[in-house]
Amino acid sequence: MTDYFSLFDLPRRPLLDSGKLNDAFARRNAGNQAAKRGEAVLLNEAFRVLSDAVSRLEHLLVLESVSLRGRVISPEVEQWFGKVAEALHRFDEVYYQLAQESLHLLRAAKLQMLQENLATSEELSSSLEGLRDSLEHRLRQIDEGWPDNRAEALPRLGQITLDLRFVQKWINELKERKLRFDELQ
Amino acid sequence: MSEIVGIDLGTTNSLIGIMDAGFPILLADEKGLRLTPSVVYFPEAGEPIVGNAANRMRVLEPSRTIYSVKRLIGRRTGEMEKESFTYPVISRDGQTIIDVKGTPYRPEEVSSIILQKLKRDAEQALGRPIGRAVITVPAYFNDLQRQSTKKAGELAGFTVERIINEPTAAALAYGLDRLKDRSKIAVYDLGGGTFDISILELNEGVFRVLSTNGNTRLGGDDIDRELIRLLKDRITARHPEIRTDLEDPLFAARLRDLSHDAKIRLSDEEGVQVDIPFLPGNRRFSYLLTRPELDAIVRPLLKRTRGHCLRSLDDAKIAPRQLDEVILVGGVTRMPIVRQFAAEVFQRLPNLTQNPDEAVAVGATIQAGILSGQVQNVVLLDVTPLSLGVETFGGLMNVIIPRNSTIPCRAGEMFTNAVANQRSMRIKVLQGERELAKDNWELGSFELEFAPVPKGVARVGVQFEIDSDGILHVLARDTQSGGEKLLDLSSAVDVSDEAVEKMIAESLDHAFEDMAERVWTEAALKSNELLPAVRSALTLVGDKLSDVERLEIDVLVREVEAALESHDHQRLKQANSALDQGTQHLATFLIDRAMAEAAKRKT
Repeated sequence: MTDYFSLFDLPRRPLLDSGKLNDAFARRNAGNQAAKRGEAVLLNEAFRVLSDAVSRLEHLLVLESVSLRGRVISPEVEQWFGKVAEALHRFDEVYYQLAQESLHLLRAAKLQMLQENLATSEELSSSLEGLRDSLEHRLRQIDEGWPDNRAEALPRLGQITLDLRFVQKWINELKERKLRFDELQ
Repeated sequence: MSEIVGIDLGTTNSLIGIMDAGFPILLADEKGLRLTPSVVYFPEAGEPIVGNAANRMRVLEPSRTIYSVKRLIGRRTGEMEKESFTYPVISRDGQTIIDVKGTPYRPEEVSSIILQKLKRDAEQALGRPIGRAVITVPAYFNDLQRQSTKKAGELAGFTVERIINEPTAAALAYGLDRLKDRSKIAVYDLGGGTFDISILELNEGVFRVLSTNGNTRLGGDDIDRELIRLLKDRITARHPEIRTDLEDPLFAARLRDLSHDAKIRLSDEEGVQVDIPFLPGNRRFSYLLTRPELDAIVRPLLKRTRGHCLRSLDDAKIAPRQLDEVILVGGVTRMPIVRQFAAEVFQRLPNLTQNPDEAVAVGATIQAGILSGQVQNVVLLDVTPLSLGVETFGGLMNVIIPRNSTIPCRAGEMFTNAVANQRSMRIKVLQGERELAKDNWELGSFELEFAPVPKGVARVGVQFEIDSDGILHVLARDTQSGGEKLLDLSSAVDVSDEAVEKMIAESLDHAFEDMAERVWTEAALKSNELLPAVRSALTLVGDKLSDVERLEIDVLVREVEAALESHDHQRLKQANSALDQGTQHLATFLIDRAMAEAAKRKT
């Protein structure tokens, strides 16, 4: 497994400054046109992994030999699972019906239903964003003590990574529904 | 190192260019024209004719003159919409074929004829042979469409060095590598047949594509089509007796040219006189087409691009105000309403310094210069516009390379067997953003065989690699036996085509079963949905209607109720449709209310 942090000469830690990452990527690419395609592939993959918070944490955990296998999301995240799934399902169902509908009034009624669904989704989104902020806050705390707290912090980091992955995915999914609704206007 | 040309193979026009003493120049044909219409005319005898001469034949010989072939390239017949071309497009063994009076042509063959003409003109202008080329495609083109474009280049006698995305080429043409570091750029490309929006970032001379979005079936051709419809309506309003004559292909082609010219002139003028001196039956028609009329046609099209723009910004994780530059590409963006729209969506005035028709070709030429070593210090990084993955247990899409990954790239995942003693695994390669495998585009599939083992013991690694042309290679390997397979995409696609054909045929077979009963059931379902919806809408916004309107709706509702009792499917359908018409105004109020509520939450 290639260590993407050392590939860019960056410290191996939970948080990265995106400016520094961009600089490092540009530096590695500069004058690299004639380089073998294999290296371009590796650099692109490394950049993709490091620039996204969750995939960066997953990579860090692999390098630190921490496995997420068998671990489940924490109860504070799990409590939202059903609500998010239902909101998404309801939206998609009505959105699909709306796409098929030709009668004016039924279209209007479905638009109204979508609008109501969106209000719920937005409430969910802001709760999830709050949850994400709190996860990120915990992440910053770990990062501040890094690497002295490594041994003690790694299991917690695993849990935060897993939680963050779900929360981020849900926020994105809800946002996608909002964009679809905006498109209808 | 030998020279490389840059080619913009467009839906409407194509261009070719070359680096000369460090500057990109576009090459002209023997008449001094740089823009070659992407049109091919096949005469009864002799060589095909390309470009302006062919364009004129669209009026005289519409069924022998092929235009907008880019809309057909790499498309499966199963997914072609019923589109009006003045030439016949047919399906043979799942392949899209253009039938020119009995002679079949594949779309890439027609494209290669256009490329041959560009090659000839360029060689004439330069006085020496050329052999290598960079060709551009819309960022939204899928794998098959890219492969077919590359094939067209090879058929024309080029070695295709690189297939690059149009928006990224355009950014090079605007010289945006001279902007300050970290600049963010939106490229809004509305061409003849495709719409692309890309967000780029400049990093110490390196362009990085943050996101791309778009639609392969949206462009200036759609405006032409709507404009033709408008003109036809105006003609039949004045001469109702010649309605059928308007469907004559000869007349349709002539009308298309007239409306296209009018559209272009309306970018500079407020009104254009459209004259058709010889309508069938020796009538003449003259009409003053105004810019507001054209704007009304263009507006819904622009509205459809808004969502793509918002998604692209969202994917790039930036707000409009963080953009440093907005550039416009494609002839349609000359229209004042398009410029206004772009300024409004991105909250800044677009950069208009380059010729929007030529920017992509100039960029392709610069890219060609980079490859041949004539230009240095610019690196262009492209991204994959759609996610790529495989179908997994339960019919779900498992993404292996997420959308907007920078290419070239490689990624893989391990899979196992879901059932004990399974002897093989079918790997379906998918492209798209939907959760369910069936909703995504299937690029191809193949079987990988392995020794029978208990459930969960087999280890199959699937690796995706996208090369610098954006073309996908899929490798599957059984780690125990070491057996591996590389996906042959083109043959896999053929298989799927048959499946698509079969599916369509089967759906037709069942279409006429129990027709009347189905009409009744569907209509009754509609009524049972419509009646409560009307009641609830009346409670919500009924006060906005006049007494007369409410009374009318009441009558229509009672007719639907009566029809439901009658079990007469014709009567019920008519009653539903009458109630639909009668409640249009009510529906508008309901929509206004929903949108107002959504807007209220935004503030």
